[in-house]
Amino acid sequence: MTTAAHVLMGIAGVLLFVAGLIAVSRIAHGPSQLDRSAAADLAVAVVIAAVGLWTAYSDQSTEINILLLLSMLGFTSAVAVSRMVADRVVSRRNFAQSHRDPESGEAGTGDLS
Amino acid sequence: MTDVLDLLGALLLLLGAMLCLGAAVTLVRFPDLLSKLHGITKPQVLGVLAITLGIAVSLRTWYAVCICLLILLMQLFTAPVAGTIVSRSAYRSGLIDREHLVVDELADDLAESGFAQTPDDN
Repeated sequence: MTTAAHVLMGIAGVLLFVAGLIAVSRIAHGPSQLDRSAAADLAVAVVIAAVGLWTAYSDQSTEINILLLLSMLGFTSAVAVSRMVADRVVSRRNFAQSHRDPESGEAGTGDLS
Repeated sequence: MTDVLDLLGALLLLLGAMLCLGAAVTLVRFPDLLSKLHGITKPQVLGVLAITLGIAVSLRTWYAVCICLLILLMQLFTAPVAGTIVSRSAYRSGLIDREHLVVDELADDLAESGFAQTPDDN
């Protein structure tokens, strides 16, 4: 492998590191739960890119199977989190309808995060 | 020839990494969830295409080419599922900005089938 390819792969590694840091910070303080699930999707994409980079760098095809598994199962976390959020919205709506204040007509809205 | 192919593979991997960084900047800069999802799909589809092409060009074995095709196929199958379900759940929980929507066909369909968006949802 030439020096130029090494340099390009090093730059790609640095870019992936910065992207992973931003994704983790979004997971840590995203405003809502769905922002966190989008950031987790980005983290899966970053891991796919990083394992692919390592595969091309080390010139061994062992790690490609990890990539196959990630591309098959990477979407399950986003689906699970969004189903959970949808369940919570429905139960909050039922709670608001059953506890509605008759004078103001306004129900206490919980923080959806 | 092998040097040129190695350089091409490294360039494709760099392209995938740049798309990942672009999506990360999108997560910080864009206002609401639908535009963030728009940014997230770039490394999920085009980035995985670039990464798998880079791996196939760098390794140059038939085994790697076949597995990379399978990776790309699986990603194309599963990425729209995640995007659809997350955006559907964002719509139901009122996390999207209704003033900036040009077309809102789901609201018409929901109103037609009897579901009304209550003001509590926002």
